[in-house]
Amino acid sequence: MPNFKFVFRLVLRIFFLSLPFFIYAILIYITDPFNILRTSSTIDENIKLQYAAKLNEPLWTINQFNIKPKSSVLFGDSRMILTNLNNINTISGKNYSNMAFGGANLNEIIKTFWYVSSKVRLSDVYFGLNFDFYNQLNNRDRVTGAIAVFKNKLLYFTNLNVLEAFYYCIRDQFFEMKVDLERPFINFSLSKDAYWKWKLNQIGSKFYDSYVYPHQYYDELRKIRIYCLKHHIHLTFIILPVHQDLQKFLINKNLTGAEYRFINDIRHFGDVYDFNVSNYLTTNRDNFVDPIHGKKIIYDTLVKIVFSKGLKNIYITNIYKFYPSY
Amino acid sequence: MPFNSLSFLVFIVVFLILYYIPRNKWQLSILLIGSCIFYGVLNFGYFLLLSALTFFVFYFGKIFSIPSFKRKHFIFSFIIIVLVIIYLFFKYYHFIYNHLSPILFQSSFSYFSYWFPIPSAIIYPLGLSFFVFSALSYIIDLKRGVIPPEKDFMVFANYFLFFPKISQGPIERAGRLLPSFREVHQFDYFQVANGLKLIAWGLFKKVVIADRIAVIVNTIYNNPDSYNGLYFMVATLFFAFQIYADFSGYTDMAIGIAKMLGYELTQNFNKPYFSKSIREFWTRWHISFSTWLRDYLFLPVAFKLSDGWKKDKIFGIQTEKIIYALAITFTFFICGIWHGEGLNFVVWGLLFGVALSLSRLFKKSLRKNKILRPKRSNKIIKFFQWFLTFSFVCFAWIFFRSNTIQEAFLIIKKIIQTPYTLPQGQLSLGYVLSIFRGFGVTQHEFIIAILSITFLLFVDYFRKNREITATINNLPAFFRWIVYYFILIMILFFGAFNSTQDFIYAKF
Repeated sequence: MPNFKFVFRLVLRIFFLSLPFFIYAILIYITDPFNILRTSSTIDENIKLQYAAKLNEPLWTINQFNIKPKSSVLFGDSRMILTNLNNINTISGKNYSNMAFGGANLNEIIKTFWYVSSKVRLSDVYFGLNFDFYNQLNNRDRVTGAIAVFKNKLLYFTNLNVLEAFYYCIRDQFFEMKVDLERPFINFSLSKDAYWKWKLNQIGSKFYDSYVYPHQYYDELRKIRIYCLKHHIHLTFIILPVHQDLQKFLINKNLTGAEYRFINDIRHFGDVYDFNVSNYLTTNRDNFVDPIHGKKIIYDTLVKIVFSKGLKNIYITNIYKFYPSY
Repeated sequence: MPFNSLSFLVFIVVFLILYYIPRNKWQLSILLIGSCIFYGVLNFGYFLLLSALTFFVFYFGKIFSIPSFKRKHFIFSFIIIVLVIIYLFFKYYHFIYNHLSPILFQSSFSYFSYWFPIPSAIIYPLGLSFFVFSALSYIIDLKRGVIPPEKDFMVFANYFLFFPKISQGPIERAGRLLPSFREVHQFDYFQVANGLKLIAWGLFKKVVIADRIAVIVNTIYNNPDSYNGLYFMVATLFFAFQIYADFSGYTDMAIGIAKMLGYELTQNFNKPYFSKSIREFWTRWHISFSTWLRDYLFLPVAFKLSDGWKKDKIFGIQTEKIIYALAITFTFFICGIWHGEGLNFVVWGLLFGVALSLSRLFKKSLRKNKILRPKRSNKIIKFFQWFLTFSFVCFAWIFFRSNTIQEAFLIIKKIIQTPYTLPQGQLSLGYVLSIFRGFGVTQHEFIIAILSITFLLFVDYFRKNREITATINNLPAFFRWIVYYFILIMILFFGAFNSTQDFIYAKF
């Protein structure tokens, strides 16, 4: 038999080494910052929403869907989040789930779609896309990691965002120390005009400086189209409005042809509402928070047109263009 | 059962308890049972294949102990041929099938097509090549009289099927490792503790560095048409560290597990990216394999060639240098083929073979040149030598990582032709973000990857030639525990568990 003195010494050291991790795991189990274990009421739901939902939007959003799955789903990025869900439900008479999350790209949207489709029988699907999504080089992936957490709950305890959320939630709940996670690191002291210009250059450059046609996304969207046809799912694309100053960037980068190809491509997969047209809404800076995020008036108009049955037959107005699918 | 899986964690804990209970020969039986379970749960059919091969080598190997037996050379050739044929069959079946199938299915040979199962039915047995290398070295050493044949099957089977090394090595020589299976191993606190430290360090390399980088490398290398040269430069650089962290991480874990059981395995890596010449690189990279190639391929070929060449010079070049060039090029050609059947692997091997040949051919003239070979202590020259070596190795990795030879050339072309200019001639935050969007990971993940690579290099540089455990053990207790917690936190919170990749060398 082995020398038990040394075995005991080893076991004791391993125990002490792992003790903080066990305590941490218990705390996560009790607080459950993302509501994934659905065990706790220790932390106020609004506090969780304030931190967890911002630290890992895909994880939060997918979990919300898992809690209340719905057959009508919206996908997209922060622009799609800005569409008022209550408004949509009232106008359409259906119960929608908004699976959009900030900074999403087509790669993440496609992965979220497949996850959602594996959970419920879908009936209506809306993809809020823009040309900047349709770029092979826009391929960051946060969804695979989020989905992995649902498949293996142990990953929840080792997720860095869970640790961060836990820290902020505890601070807020027990010490009332609030943190604004959306506050930028850089303290801008720019005028409104200068800020607009800075943001415009930053976004324009980020979206359009590097562009590669996404053959992979085209194939993936085609698979989604086939799936939707097979399961009688109504698939619609909404090209969300951006300010026309940003649209000029696209022209300067000689990407108008690529944009036309993008619209033409997605028409193969479903009806397309293109709100990215020059009109009184998209040329007025007052209607926008920044060059890509519109204000309430923009999204209310959009929701009214897309989701009210009566307005669907209007093909071309000065607000949007409607392209029926091929 | 990969070392970085939860199932292995459970297996090793249970196994360790059972292993250290008996203090007699039963320990060896438990070790063998453990190895059989480790491999058997993966694929029972291939476990039977390896078991049969073990018995085959053991049985025929015993013949070498009979002094009166006269057909030793025949038996030797027979064993070598059987091992090589079995290895080649599994390794290149897909390749041969894919190239022969058009002939087999469309011509009068179609009758023969029934003889060939479809490639998907033939899975390459994990660790077969490492097993075959060990078996070959055992038989060759027997023939050379370096080692006596092993008479105890239990010892022999344990040496071949020893689970820490069975899937990816290190390739152990019988003369070194086999005797330790004759001993009974007692629980040694320091051995087990050092083993655990090595496992943790190996796991850190695998899940924090290699698996995280793999996402970036795969995103770019699997879409060669989509990316420009800048991306490929970054991806190639990352791949250099991915393969190092992946393979050396595995080796550290293997050595650590063996240490916990009381066995010492060979070091396979010794700071390869600090090499200042290609020759030095190959003395530091996959050491057990490169020394195997040296002892069982390069030297026999070189001796054979030198037997045939009696002249001192051929075309004014010393015969010795020509022999070296031919033997080393051939050795690296085989090394390339061993890694894969694609032409890209052949080119990868030949690049090293040619580079080593050229460095030998021009060695004297370089030494005489005062500009190219000034004082050895000159740091600028040392840096230049390191830079050239590292760049060459990275260049060779392009062929290694590319899916085909055509893709490798396309990538090189892109790296050369990309105009490395900024839009509007200035670096903007937006441009940097637009570049980042293409790596397939978040900016945080990208930064973690860079920081962890830096940390790996930092550790490699400062541990000098000592083992990582020796470096940690020399620290005061307080700092030692900080290191333990740091490594554990990194593994748990920064490990890429959601994109776990197979070990790269598992497929070789």
